[in-house]
Amino acid sequence: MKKRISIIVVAICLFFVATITVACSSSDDRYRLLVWAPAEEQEMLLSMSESFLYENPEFAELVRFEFVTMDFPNVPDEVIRDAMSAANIFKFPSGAIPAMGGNLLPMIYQPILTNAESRHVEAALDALWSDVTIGGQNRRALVALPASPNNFVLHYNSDLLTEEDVRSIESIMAADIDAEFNLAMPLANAWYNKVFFLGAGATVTVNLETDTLQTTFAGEYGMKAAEYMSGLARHPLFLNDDGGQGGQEFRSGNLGAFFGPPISRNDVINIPGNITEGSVINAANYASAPLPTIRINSEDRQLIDFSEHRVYGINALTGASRDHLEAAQITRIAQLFVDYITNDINQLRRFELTSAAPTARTLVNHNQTNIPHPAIAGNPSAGNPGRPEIVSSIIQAQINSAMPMPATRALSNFWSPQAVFGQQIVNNADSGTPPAVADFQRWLDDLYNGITINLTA
Amino acid sequence: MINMTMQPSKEMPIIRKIAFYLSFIFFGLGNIAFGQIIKGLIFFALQIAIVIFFVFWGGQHLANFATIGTQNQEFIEIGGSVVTIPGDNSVQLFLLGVFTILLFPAVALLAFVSIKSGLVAKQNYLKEKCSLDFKTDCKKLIDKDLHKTLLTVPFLGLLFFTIVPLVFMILIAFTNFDRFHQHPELFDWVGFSNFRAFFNMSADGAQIGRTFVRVLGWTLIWAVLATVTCYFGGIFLAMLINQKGIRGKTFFRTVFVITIAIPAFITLSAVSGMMARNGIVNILLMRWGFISSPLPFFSDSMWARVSVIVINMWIGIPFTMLFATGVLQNIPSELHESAKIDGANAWVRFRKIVMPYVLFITAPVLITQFIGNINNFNVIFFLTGGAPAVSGAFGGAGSTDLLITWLFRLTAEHNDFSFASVIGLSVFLINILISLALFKTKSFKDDTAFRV
Repeated sequence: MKKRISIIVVAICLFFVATITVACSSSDDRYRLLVWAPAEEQEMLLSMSESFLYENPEFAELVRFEFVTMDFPNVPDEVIRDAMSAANIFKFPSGAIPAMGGNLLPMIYQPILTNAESRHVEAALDALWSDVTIGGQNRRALVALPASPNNFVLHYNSDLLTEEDVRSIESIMAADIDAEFNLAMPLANAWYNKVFFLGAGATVTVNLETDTLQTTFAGEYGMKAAEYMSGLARHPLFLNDDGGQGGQEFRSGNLGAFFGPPISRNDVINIPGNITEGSVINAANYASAPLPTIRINSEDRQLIDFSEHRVYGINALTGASRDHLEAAQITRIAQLFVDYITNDINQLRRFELTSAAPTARTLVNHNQTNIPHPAIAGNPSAGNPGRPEIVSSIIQAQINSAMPMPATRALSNFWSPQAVFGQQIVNNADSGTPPAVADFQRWLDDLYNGITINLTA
Repeated sequence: MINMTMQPSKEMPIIRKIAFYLSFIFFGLGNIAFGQIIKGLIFFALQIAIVIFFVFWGGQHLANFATIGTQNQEFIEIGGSVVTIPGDNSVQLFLLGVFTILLFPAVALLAFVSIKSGLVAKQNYLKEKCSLDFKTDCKKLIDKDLHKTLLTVPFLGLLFFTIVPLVFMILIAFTNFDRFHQHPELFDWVGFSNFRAFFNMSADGAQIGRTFVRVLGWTLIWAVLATVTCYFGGIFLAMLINQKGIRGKTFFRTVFVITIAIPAFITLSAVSGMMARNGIVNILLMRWGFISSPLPFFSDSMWARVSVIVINMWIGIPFTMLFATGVLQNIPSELHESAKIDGANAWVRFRKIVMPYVLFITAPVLITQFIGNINNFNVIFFLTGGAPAVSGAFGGAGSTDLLITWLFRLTAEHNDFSFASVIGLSVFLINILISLALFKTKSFKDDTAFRV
């Protein structure tokens, strides 16, 4: 009797388990398009996907969208490490395109190409074209579509500094302001400190034969940059912002200006209920400006950044588990969705939400997002330079003068040596050791060796 | 339970003899010949399953293992859209190859077990003139052979979660599975070239070799200093608290044990923030006028190395203090008293009695600590993250990176698995050599051999 009861109990349990398993697995057999995007874009993208499927109801029968938060700088590593587990659509920095190689689905669908070329400014598409072999033929295809530039600007407190002051680092440091520090920048961060080298006239390019980087950072221009950085690091009114201290000092009114991405604007302006509550910075005294100039050899030289964009790409394995016809339909929908979320209207939505500058020609040239900053256009009546549209115009202006980011997978060799060099400058300044050309040259030589190392063999 | 269907006979029929010898080829035939039909069929079924696996899949896996993939990913155009034809996945092929290779010892083990089982059945037949039935055999698994039942799951766990990854890791060292050969790129066998790169000190292309030597050197220095400081610091602290006349011994011991009670990564992360360039330590020192610019605790090579050794003492000394307290309390008081009568002062007693005794008893712990420090991932990772970075270092190895944190960096940040595998093997080799050398000490050979 006991045995029979046990068997019945086990059978009932198995039945429930089987029922739940079947119920869970057979609810939806549409292809899942997983999207990785930053946290601040999740709700916006969900809304965009609903609009996309509403406008294209036939796609809703084939695919469904799911969104997962992923910081965009981490995406390339995740995709390279395990493309099969990675999302189908993801946002990432365009500088990683050479490293991601065959993990990106080439876009050759003609409406997409036509849209992209007519929609986005040329500088935004330059790094996104790639030569790929499709069906045995070499074709030119886009491997991603741009959403916004990936650069930083100067944020400043207009109660402390004027528009004239922020035109050059010399005038910022010379300003007599009621604050402990005039300027903050993470000097040991390669994403920031490279602008001194590029601004001084040094270059980083690709040696196409060896697919390695070649640079003049250890030459005359590099030495000028090193001397300038050293002088800045030793200035008592300069704060080396290596732990986010810059934003904190800026919020408390203790700092005149700091460098940061456009979204830093949202991190410093006083918003009740936010971590910025209590900040002395508000919409009236927050201001932003393009990268200032530096004086080298009695000549004002513009700080220059790499031209890089935040882009959306498609995993090459998207739809690969289905038969070819269905896979073609899925990849076409994925391409159209990427095209949709980077179109003019949705770039404007993204801009309003995150201050991310657009790449769409209509928006770049539109007053709503691009009121020229006085420092760029020489028009002092442009209004409050702290408005997000001004940040956008600043970014656009910088992109126009930016240096193309070297398109090589060897770019990964650039960041660490550049950061080490900055740290050496900071340590040297902190130790009180007098600046010595011999030390600078030794560090520059190390920097050169680090950047040009050949590990691709 | 005895199977009475089999009739006893004095002579073993020739057919059974032949069947027994054929069981060397056809597993389980010996068991079947001597009446253990179910058991024999199970062995035979396992053999058939293995043969089917090798015929249909195993052979292909081995062939793929030799090449680690030949088919590259391709794109085709269908209706204006691109569709990907996935190529070979080198990692998958490699793993299946390793698994198939490991099946060979498994097959040998199965052959051994089945032949032995047939032999036992034969001996039992000759002795008892009958055979054990399957039910009795099964019952033995929870009685006489209980150890086999209990060890089966741990053995399988060891096989799948330790041996397979270990073999995988070792073999990866002989491939070019690095950041430039990630899927969909294929990787390939490269022989000993990764090992050569680690020992290449020539001017050209010596970044890997130079970085390896630097990190290895620092790992050994760190292991020695971290072990010595914590060991002697702990003994000193234990002796201090153990002194006659010290009040509140329990309180002091508890205070130091608190550092163990709090998870190390919390302490280390907090200290890391406190001693950062703009951390509270530098801010207070500058505010109080002791320094005019921040001290580079973690941003200068030498400072960072000294800092991690000193901070590690905070984490490590209480451990040594705990076991040293027990050891000190076990030193026979007669030894101290006789020494005092002979005129030995405190220093002589420490040198001649305490240290030899403590060293003898704690030698195994000392070795464990030393090897533990070679692989001390937490302290370095949470304090400095390997920083400060070194220009031109391979795989971003910083000044305070140990081999183990560099290995982590190479896999987690750079996807250079083949080089990481070489480092893993190096660490393994170093630990083995140190262990073998130190296991020859008297403490391991004869734990009663201590003589003052």
